[in-house]
Amino acid sequence: MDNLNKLLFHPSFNDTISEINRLNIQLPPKPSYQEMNFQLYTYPPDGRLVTNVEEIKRYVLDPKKGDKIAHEPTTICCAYDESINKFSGLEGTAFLMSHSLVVTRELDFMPLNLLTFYFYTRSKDITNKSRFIKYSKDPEMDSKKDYVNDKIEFLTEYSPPGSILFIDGPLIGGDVYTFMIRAINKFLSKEIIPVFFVKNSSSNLVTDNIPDLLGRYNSDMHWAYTYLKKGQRTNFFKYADRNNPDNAKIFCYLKAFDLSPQRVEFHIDTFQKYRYKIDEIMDLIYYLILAQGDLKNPQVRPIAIAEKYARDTLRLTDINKIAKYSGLVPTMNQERFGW
Amino acid sequence: MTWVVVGEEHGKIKLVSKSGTPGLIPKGSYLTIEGEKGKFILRVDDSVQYEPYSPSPLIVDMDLSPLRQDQKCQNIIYASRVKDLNERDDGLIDYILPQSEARRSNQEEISKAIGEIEGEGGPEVFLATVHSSQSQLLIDNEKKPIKAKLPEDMFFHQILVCGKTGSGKTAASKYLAQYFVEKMEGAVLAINVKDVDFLIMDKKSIAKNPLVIKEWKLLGEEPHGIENFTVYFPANIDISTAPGVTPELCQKITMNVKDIEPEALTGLLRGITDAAAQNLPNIFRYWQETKKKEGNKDFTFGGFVKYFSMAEADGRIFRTMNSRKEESAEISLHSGTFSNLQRNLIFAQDFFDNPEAKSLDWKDILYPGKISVINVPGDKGEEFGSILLRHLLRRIVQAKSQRESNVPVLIIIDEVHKFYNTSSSKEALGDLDTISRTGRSQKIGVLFSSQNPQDMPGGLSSVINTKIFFRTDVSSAKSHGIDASTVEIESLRNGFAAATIHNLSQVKFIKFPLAYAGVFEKET
Repeated sequence: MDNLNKLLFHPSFNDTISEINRLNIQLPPKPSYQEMNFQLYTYPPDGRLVTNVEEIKRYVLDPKKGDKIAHEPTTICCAYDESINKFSGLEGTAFLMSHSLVVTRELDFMPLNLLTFYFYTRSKDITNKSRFIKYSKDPEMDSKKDYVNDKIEFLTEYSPPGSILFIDGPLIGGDVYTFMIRAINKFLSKEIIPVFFVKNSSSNLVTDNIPDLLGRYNSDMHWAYTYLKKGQRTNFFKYADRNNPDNAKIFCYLKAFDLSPQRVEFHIDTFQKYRYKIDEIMDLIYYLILAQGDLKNPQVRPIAIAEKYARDTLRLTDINKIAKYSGLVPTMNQERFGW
Repeated sequence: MTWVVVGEEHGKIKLVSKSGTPGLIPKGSYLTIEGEKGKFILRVDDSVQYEPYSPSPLIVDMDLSPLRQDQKCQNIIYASRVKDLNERDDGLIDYILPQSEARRSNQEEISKAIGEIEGEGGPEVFLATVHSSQSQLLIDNEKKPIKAKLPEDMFFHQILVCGKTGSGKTAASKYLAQYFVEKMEGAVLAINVKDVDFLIMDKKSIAKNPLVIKEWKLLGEEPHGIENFTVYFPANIDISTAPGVTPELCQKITMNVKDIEPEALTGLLRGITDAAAQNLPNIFRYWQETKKKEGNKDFTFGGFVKYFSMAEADGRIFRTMNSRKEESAEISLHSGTFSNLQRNLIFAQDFFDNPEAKSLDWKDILYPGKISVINVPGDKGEEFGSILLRHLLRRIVQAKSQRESNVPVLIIIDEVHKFYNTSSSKEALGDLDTISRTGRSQKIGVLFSSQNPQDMPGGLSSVINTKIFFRTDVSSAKSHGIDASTVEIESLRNGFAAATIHNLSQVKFIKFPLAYAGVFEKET
């Protein structure tokens, strides 16, 4: 817990800024807000649906039980969210990312933030001049890899042992699949229960695989919204690797308000290890969504706090001021639209 | 407890509390920021609660308990910069850097901030504040109340003490009087108009409230009575049965027609114009001086009343003498004025020439360390007091101006409107006005005490430099320049006051300790 209440800077943060200054690279005056989309990085990468985790039906959540668990002294909740600014310049693209971890202590939310700053370019002339400037043919993809690596490193290092870790975003597969597996193992070794949340997904993991639902709904979210009442969740589904059924995630949909539901995901190892606590955790999640209470931003309260810290630390870090005297020429779009 | 500087907004320094600060710092408190080159002292002007996580009320609506973390509160402060304790020689003013940490100021820092002069004496009071309709003492980080020394010079720039009954007005006057005689070796003349307010100052105070006793301890004082204390009362009024009064310290007084200052007779007059009132002293002076010239040693006030009444038959024409003792023109009084004066003179006969009573003069009053109280309760007492007060004031001013005495004197006048008309002009206020304007050089001070400041004679309020308002009527407090809100003034507990103090401009709310003499606290 001594590590909390701090703002950390990635080791290459200052060096990268110094180098873009030295190389006379100028960042545009205003960055754009960047959402990391991992729709195409599903976990497991080559999965298929298995439905037999629970009986297919609606499960009523009990916020009173969640309230009780939230206030037990042994319950440590923590949450992760991130905020990203993207700077598109002629010479390349920079990403300023704020990784935010919030731990609920007895009387306060204790934040810990990590700021990273990377610059990607297709120009070998530039990358040859500095080891802190990254060569990339696809800055979007490479920034995602760096993002996931930093996120996993950050969470495995700083999440308190014995905690329930709420992570905004899905279990990620794709190119970073192995990182994710390593992270899950580390979490479990520290008795951390990672829980992943997905909002606004258009995936059809359930509706494409349950014959009765096939073709009737636009997405799983559409089905879950129609199927559930407020304060209910669906049964858990298992989504497993075609070749290795032990490599899987367990998920359900939860509807807290009369709004689009959320998907709650567990890695199968987490689910199996903590099966006896999963119902309690679902009640806790429902209580924490009610505690957040914001219909415009329905998510578990600690994630909402982590989001605030992520955005605030990003806002406080004026990368342009730091790199004030560099000379990058903005692209036409940035000039035209005044980013 | 620590607050962090956020920056400056609209001329005020904005600060926010750090985690672990368990409550709001009240308005009026002082904060110290230690910079690299010196300290800055700030006074808290506004202090509000802020909930950083702005939790939704939904959870409580659903009968669920809120997250304790969501209940976190912070204290946002807006403070004025009152003193920079550093030295610069380039004429610029230091920045207060954002992220600087502030703590509650200690006694030494606050004393400097409010302008106390090191080494100088003065009656000690506690600094106070009113926050959320609660009046309370300001305390430092060691939980010790913050004290302030009222400057001694304040006494000679006139003081007004106002407050409703029981608000602490009289106790404060007693406290200041006791300081004046004991620490400044001055003399106090107090006019007591009701109850036994000032008549028991020979006795030590008795306190039941542990907070009062704690305050005395903090000031290093024990309750004790005034050693040199005399109660004077008109011979025609019996106060021997007044509870608590020590009969041995009481002396009957009368007024001697041979010595009475002619101007003092204006104290008798009610309901006539200032100009008409000015005729009576000149008529009386002519008669008094004529009797003296005749060598008549046995003339009495009754003789003057007869002399005055006989003029009715001669068309109410009087010979007069001015204050330079030159005979002036004859005057003719209007019949209405004549009847009014005659009625009052007949009424006043009782006050004069009682052979069993003493006639007071300045020497009885201007005695170092002595409190003299003239007890003039009731209607008759007020008339007596009006004449005697004018007589004594004139005598004291004369004695001081002729350097016959260098003893500082404080005159305490309770309910001043009973002795001087609220509409009195400066001329009619006579010596009182002179004192108010020249008191500093002659070491004469006046403390006016009143339930309603609107009773103050108009000519006086402009020369009063220290105004202390206990719980009282709000509009009149504001009209006297008190910078406090309606809620703040109405929330003042007993002993707490809003004030503007001469030469102590940063002080806004104070709490008087209970006087060491003459106050008997009731069991609470």
